[in-house]
This record gives sequence, structure tokens and C-alpha cells, in this order.
Amino acid sequence: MPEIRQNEKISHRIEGPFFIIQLINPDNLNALEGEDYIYLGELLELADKNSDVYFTILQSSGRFFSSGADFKGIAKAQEDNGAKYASETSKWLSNFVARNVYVTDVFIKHSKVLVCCLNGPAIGLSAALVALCDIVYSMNDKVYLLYPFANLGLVTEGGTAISLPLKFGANTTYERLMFNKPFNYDIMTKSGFISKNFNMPSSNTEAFNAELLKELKGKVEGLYLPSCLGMKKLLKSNHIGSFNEINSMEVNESLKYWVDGEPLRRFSQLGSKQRKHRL
Amino acid sequence: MSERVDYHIDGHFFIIKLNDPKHLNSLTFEDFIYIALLLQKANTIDSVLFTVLQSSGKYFSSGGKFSAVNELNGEEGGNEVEKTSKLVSAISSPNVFVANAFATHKKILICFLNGPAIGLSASLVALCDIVYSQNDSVFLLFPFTNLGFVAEVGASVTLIQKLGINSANEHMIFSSPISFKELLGTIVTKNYQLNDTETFNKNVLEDLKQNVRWLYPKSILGMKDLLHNQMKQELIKSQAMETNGTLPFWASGEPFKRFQQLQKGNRRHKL
Repeated sequence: MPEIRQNEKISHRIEGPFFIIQLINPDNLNALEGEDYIYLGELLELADKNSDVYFTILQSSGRFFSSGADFKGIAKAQEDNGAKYASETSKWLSNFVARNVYVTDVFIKHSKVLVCCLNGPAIGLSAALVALCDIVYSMNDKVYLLYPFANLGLVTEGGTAISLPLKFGANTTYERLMFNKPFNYDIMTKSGFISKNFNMPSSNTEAFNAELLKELKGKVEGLYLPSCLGMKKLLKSNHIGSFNEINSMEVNESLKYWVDGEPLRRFSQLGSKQRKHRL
Repeated sequence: MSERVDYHIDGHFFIIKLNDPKHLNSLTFEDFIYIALLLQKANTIDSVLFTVLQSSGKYFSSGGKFSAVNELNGEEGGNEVEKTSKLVSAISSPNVFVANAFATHKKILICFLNGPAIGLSASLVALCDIVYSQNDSVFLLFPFTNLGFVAEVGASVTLIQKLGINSANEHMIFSSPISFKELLGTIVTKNYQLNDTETFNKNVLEDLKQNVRWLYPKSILGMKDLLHNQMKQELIKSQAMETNGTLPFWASGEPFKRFQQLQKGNRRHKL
């Protein structure tokens, strides 16, 4: 396996045809900073290049799948006002546009089957990545996806302007996004977004990850694995054009909001608990 | 002309029936072409508004006949050009000719799903505009990854649209059956809860006749034209994508090995 630097919040390993990526920072609800999302993207590229790998599995740990962007990371980006940026636009191109467009693109173009082991809630960009996975299994009915873009002074990102209407229907998506409400377990099941609920207690994510991996091994037994990739390629061809287009539109639209400063004000209120996610 | 497929016209209904229940209505490549020709015929008859696919016995259709697939394999060391052209023609006939007959069909396609449908036959069910089920023992199975090739006859479009992306991914990539529970509301509109297939066929047809009594025939076809427009474009595009996507798999020989294992009982559908 080619070398990749280590990251204390994200681990990876290969087991047969499975490239397993795990978020391992449960104490901080697996919140991720910009650099962590880039690292996740690099891992996907590593999986993509490995011809022994057919499935890329996203797992997490603890109660949350991932609470989204880490406030600390955002504060860091704000302080990043050294001489190297000629303008606010230049700063946010670096701190937002580049990393966001990259990680979204890597997920969109990934050639292996992306499976998400959804152990708990996912928020923001992390929830956007869950919506970009090909197949999702849930640990229990306490999972939800929250896209708090309207509450944070932002617009959709991570391809959600396409993935959510496609997977949940247009009207449901409008209602949830405009009023900052979570896509709960019922919505995810009714729409076929979750393929199976494992009905396991929230206290034992490791057991869920192990059980799910065992089931996946059973599912692929006897299958012709190149067919799985060929199948993904065909199924993906339905929407790949729309995803590529929206990735560009979303980051360029969001950039205006970052330059304007509203998201920062709201992120710092969240950090200091003056603002809450509305659940 | 097929001993396994017949048709008759009953008022507004052009009824195509699979009538080989002893062999679970498995079909040869020629049978699929015959069905496509019947669709073309139904298109040209003005009084026909609905094209019905119905079956007999326990299964709707268990898919392509193993023997028909194995025949394609040909002898080792044959002429490369002949082998390839035989394969291209065999793979294109369902994926282009049959798929196109369904994609461009003007009449309302109604499937009377009396039982399970597998493989290419399941692809036909997914191409129908309306599906009624006989009871809750029906399922659809697309065992393409288990058989060593990829989605065929429009399934890469129809399942994504009708089941949703994630669910279609799960069932197509893992060759797992789509149960009645998942079909209801996505592909199946109404469950008749009947045991006998002939009673089911008769009752559904009676209901349909009642339904259309006061309707304006031109509106029915005009409505389909509008509703189907977007899907039609996707389906036409998928003919090239699916044919070219699946050809290399067949050329590699993997599907033949696996069909033979299936025939000998050394491989099973994942149910």
C-alpha cells in the first residue's frame, strides 16, 4: 500500500475487498476540520487506485457518525489573516472552496462501491458525504442527517442540492433544508435511503461495525466483484453529470457567504453555545 | 412465434402471455425478440390502449434459459471475428432491440405479476408503467453480479428511478432480491392477494375494463407520452451504456462459467 501520513481522528485498513475508513474521535463526536476532510479525500483516492479493493466502507465510533465541521477549525481559519491572503475572497478560496470542491469531487468520482455504516447522527459536510454514499446501513432508529446550512448562513454544499432531492424527493428536501430540520430515520427508511436497520444499541458501535462487515462479507461471497464495479459505473452514469455541475455551483455560491462573514458569526455563536442546532 | 409466448387482443387490451409454467416461464433470446415484435405490433393497432404482460403458474418468469445462454458460448478456438460478432448480436438483441421496443412503446404497459421474476424478465417488469401483484410472494431478482455481468435491458435506469438510488445500488450490487415489501408503492401499485394465477389474470383484466369505461382513449395515450418522455430519453441512452458495459464481461467468458455452475446446481441465486 502506498504511504500516507497518519491522522489521529481517522484510521484505515484493508480487509479482503474492503477498504475500511473509520472515524475514531468519539469524544469530540467525530467532528472534522478542513484538513481532516482533505485526508478523507486522500484515503478515498488511495482506495480508488488499489485494484484489490472493490468496496470503500465508512465507519465511525461512539454515539455520532460525525457532528460535521469542527468549530475550532473554523476559528483557526478566521485567524488565518496573515499577509499571505490579498483579500477575504483569497482567504476563503483557500480555506473553504478548495477543500470543499476537492472532497466532494473525490466522493462523486469514486469508482469503488461506497458503503456507509451509519452508527448515529451526521451533520453538515459529513452528512453531505453520507448522502454521496451508494449504500447506507443504520445501527438503529436514532440516526438522522442534519444540514444546518440555513442556520449557519450558508447554502447547500457537498453535492446536497442534487443528492437530497434525488434520494428523498424534492418537496421533502425543500421542507427540511429551508427550515433546518433533520432528515430523521422515518424519512430515510421510507425513501429507501437506508437499506437495512441493524437495531443495535447506541452504546456499542464496534459491535455494529463488526456485524455489518460480517454481513457484507456474506453478501459478496460468490459474486463476480468486477461486475460490482461495472454495475456501479452504469448506475452512477445516470447522475454523474449533474453532480459535477452542482459541485462547481455550490462552492462558488457559498464563497459569497463566507466573504460576507455571516457563517463565521454564526459558527462562533455555536461554539459559545449562543446558537443551537435545531433538532 | 414461440411455444412459450402467445398473444390475443381483447378490446383495448393487447395481451401477451407467458405460457410455459412447467419451466417457470424461462425464455430464450428469441422469445425476448418475439415479445419486442409483439410490442411493435400492439403499437400499430389504433384500438389498443394497453399492452398487458401476464404469465401462468407459480413464476412470472425465471429469466433467460440456461441452455440458450450456453449455446452462445461456442467452441474453443473458433474464429475470433465470428465469435465476437455472434456475441455482439446476442448481447445487443435484448439490450438494444428489446429495450428499445419497451422504451418507445406508446401504449400503457401493464404487468400482471403473478410470481417472482428474475434476470432479463425482471428487467421487463421494471420497464412496465403499472404493475399489479397476485400476492405477497412475488419478488424481483437481478442476479447480474452473481452471474458475472452488469445491468441489462434498462435496469440501470428503471431501478434507480423507481426504487431510489441507494436501494437500487444495494440490490444490483449484491444481487439481493427485492421483496414484496419493497416493491409495494415503488413498483407494485396494488396487491390482489390471490392464490390462483388464472383468477388473478381474469380479475385484474375485469378491473381494468371497468377503470377505462368512461375515459377518453386519446388522453390515456397522450398522458403516457408526457409522463414517459424523460424516462424514454434515459432509457435510449442506457441502451448504448448497458450494451457496451456488459459486452466485455461476456467476452471474458465469466458469465458462461457461472451459468453452467447454475445449471449444474453448483451456484445458487442469493435469495
